[in-house]
Amino acid sequence: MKKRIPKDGLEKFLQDSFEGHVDSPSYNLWDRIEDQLPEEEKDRPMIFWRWGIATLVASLLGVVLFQQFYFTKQLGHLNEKIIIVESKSKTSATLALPNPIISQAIEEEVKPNSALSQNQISNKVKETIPTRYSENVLIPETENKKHRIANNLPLSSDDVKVLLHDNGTFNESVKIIRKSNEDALLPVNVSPNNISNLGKIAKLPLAKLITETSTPSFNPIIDLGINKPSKFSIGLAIAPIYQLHKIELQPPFPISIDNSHLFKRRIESYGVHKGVNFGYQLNKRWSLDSGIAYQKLQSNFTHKPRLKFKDHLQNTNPPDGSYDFEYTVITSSGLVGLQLRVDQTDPNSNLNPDENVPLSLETKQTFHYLSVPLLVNYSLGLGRWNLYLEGGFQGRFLADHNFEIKNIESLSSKLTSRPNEKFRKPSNRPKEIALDYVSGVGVSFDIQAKWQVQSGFNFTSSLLNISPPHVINTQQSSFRLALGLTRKF
Amino acid sequence: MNKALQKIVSQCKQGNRLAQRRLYEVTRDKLFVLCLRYTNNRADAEDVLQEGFITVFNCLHQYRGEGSFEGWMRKVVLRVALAYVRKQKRTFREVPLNESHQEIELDLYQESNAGQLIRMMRKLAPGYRTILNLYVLEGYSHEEIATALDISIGTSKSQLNRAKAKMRMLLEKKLSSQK
Repeated sequence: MKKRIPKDGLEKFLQDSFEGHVDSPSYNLWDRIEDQLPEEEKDRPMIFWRWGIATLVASLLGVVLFQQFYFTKQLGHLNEKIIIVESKSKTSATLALPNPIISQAIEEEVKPNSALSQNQISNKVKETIPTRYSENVLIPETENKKHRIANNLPLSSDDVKVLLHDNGTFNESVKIIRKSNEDALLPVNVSPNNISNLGKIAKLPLAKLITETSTPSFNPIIDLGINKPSKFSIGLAIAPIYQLHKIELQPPFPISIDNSHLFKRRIESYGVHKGVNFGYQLNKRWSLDSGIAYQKLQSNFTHKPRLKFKDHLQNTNPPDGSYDFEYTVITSSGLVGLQLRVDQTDPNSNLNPDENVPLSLETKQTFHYLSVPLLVNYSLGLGRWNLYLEGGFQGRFLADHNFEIKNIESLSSKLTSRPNEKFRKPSNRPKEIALDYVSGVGVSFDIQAKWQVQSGFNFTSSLLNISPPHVINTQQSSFRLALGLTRKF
Repeated sequence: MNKALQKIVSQCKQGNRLAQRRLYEVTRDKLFVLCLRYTNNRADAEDVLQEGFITVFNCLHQYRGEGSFEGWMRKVVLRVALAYVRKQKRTFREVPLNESHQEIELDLYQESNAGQLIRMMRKLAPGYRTILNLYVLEGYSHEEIATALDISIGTSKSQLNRAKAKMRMLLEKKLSSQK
């Protein structure tokens, strides 16, 4: 407004009267304006960044999966003959296979009854891959076959696996040499008839070689039909969860413009995660996990509105000596307009328009989420105790959200709060639907052949918000320490 | 323009909804008073303010950073308010001083000085009220008013004088009723 030098008393009177005068329109006017504005453009760099990470993780998983399946396929048809052989010779060699997955193999021609000594073969092995072996490797006498030391067979690393083959085709036999401290063991031949239906050698069940001085025999721990590797699993999980809820919004009215930090607010929530998991075993190490989970989270927050006396509402009709103020609370499901009423402690005192009206109020929010994860799980070990890694995505839906307000207090001696606040919910945010990425690490323990317990640490963070655009933009990051029980089928 | 406002304006230009809402919140109250002065009731004032903000957001790229941003916004909203006045098809005719314009709204406006004055100004014919507002409160010259309202300078001057006379009469009446 340009300042005109008043020509007369009326002009001066009008100018003075309107100087600094303000009035507020209806609360929902912004919603009407927003409806007519073009759709907001998303913050693209952030999305690219997140998609970049997701693509990188997916690519790495893809490469590892490809490698895993590729090698499994190479060994897949070795299912015709399995011969478990123990050396005739007494051995004191200690096997120290350095890595369960060694892609490099050793091949050599072994003539019938050549009776190569263990040391001779071991030396050859050492020459071929000198850095891989620190100790002697035990290779027994073999038939006139080429053989390969197959360290990438999914067997115990205490075993030496020898694959025999003709002309490069692995269709003859497999020799498994068990590390043993027993003396004078005889070779053990296991007829393929005894162990039919084994399927791929990669899924060779655990077998225990019972060694006796005179008559060694092969005795599977569990009948092969029963001991078929479990494909499916179902489990329950429960976890305490901590969530950091980031809400981006303009500051609530009538915060002054300098409080730009209120554009973003972080709310901490605590709660419980309960889930049912379904697993599908892709192979010994890899599995796909899905299911459904429910999360209940609670958040308590103390608000301290920075109100000035002049901000009191003009268009309400409070009793004399009372004033109404408006304060907007940011919630995950929208803005909650709160009308607060305060009484003047001393009705005769004059309140300056710039007088601070310090109020304090607590809000309690409860969030109910449903989520459906899709995770890839990789087991680092194959024993009873295993360390596992998991990663993937989850769809998350805010099923319900409750809001309570309590303990409204005036921190000023000149004003007293009154418990007759009103709520207004002008902003109906569409239900939040989001895609998160999930990563985790944990430990599993086989308590029985079919039962397993797990304990793991998971981190989840928002990747993409699928909900229609709204003035509130939320992002969640959560941590949970889960305890699970799984039954395999 | 302070840095915070500069940042908000820059974000608004990129279509950032949060920034738009922020700008709305920090400027709406002053602009609403402006709208109240040119309209017959609060509902119409809100309509004008709504259209004003939409125009501001759509034309924000036209603001080059020269001069006060709040002044620029005010001009935009004022243009919308004047368009509203024209749309009401009120002619800027001469009205006898003793002819009281029918009070359109009887809402219980907050009885502050400014609130009372707004009520009082609504009793003026729209042409009087508009010219009084533009001249006294917006600081427009008669030439500018004539251009903005498509009337002659003489009409602007005579209507201002009549508007003032009417306002004086209303104020005196108010004062005498309080005695």
